[in-house]
Amino acid sequence: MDISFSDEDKLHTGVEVEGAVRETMQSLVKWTSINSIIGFVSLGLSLISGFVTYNRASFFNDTENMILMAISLISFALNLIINISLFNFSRQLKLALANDDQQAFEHAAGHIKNYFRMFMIMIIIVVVFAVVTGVMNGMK
Amino acid sequence: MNDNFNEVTKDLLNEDGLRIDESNSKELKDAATWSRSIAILTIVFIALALLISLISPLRYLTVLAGETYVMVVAVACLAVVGTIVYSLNQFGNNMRNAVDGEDQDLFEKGAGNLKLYMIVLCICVALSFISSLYSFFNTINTSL
Repeated sequence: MDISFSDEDKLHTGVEVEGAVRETMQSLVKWTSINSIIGFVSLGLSLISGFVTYNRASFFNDTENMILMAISLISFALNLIINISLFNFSRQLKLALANDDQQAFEHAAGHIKNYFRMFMIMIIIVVVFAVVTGVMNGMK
Repeated sequence: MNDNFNEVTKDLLNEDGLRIDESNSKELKDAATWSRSIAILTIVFIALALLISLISPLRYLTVLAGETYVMVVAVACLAVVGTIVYSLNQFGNNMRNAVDGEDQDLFEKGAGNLKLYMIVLCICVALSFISSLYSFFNTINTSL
């Protein structure tokens, strides 16, 4: 018995991650991994530099330095979350492509969404901080 | 015959391979929306910064324009930010349209835009890493 189907008979399956898209995604995994690893190492270096600077005896006597430290900590935390999201995206996408794991692909999509969301929050904070600093400098 | 039937059914249902389904399409559309928002916010922020530089009594741009080195760095920075904004905006547009219209070509373009963004970001992160490394050794040297 020979079974044949026309294009109209085929069930609707939507967009597929095959061929050129798969190759692009594999390349994406490589670049996001590099990004997140360099990001983690940079954050580690910044943390050590921060501790060395903040441990100086006179540092905590100045209010401006305390504000600077608070801003640095917030920036560090946001950067850490962004890097974790990027790293998780890379890991889940690699898993999804290797095993054709639909659930891992869904997790990867969730992580890239989180990455962009946190990036947006960081940009808003930077903009607000720049505006506040500008206004304060203008008032002096 | 049974094997042949299973193979044909599997192919029709696309059980092998990854695809965009209802649950991950929502996440991808949200990611596209956020990336477009970032692009728009960055454009607004750069436009505001340029406007302030132009109308400021300190005339930042006039002072900077005299320094060739500063101008080269400023143009390079603008080119990098421009590429990032372009790739984010295109990723947002292409991914949203690909998911809505179930368009394979647009999905491919969207993935390409995300890859371009990651490559440019990688260059920025590498430069930031060199700066962190320099600052790290500077701090260690001063504290010793």
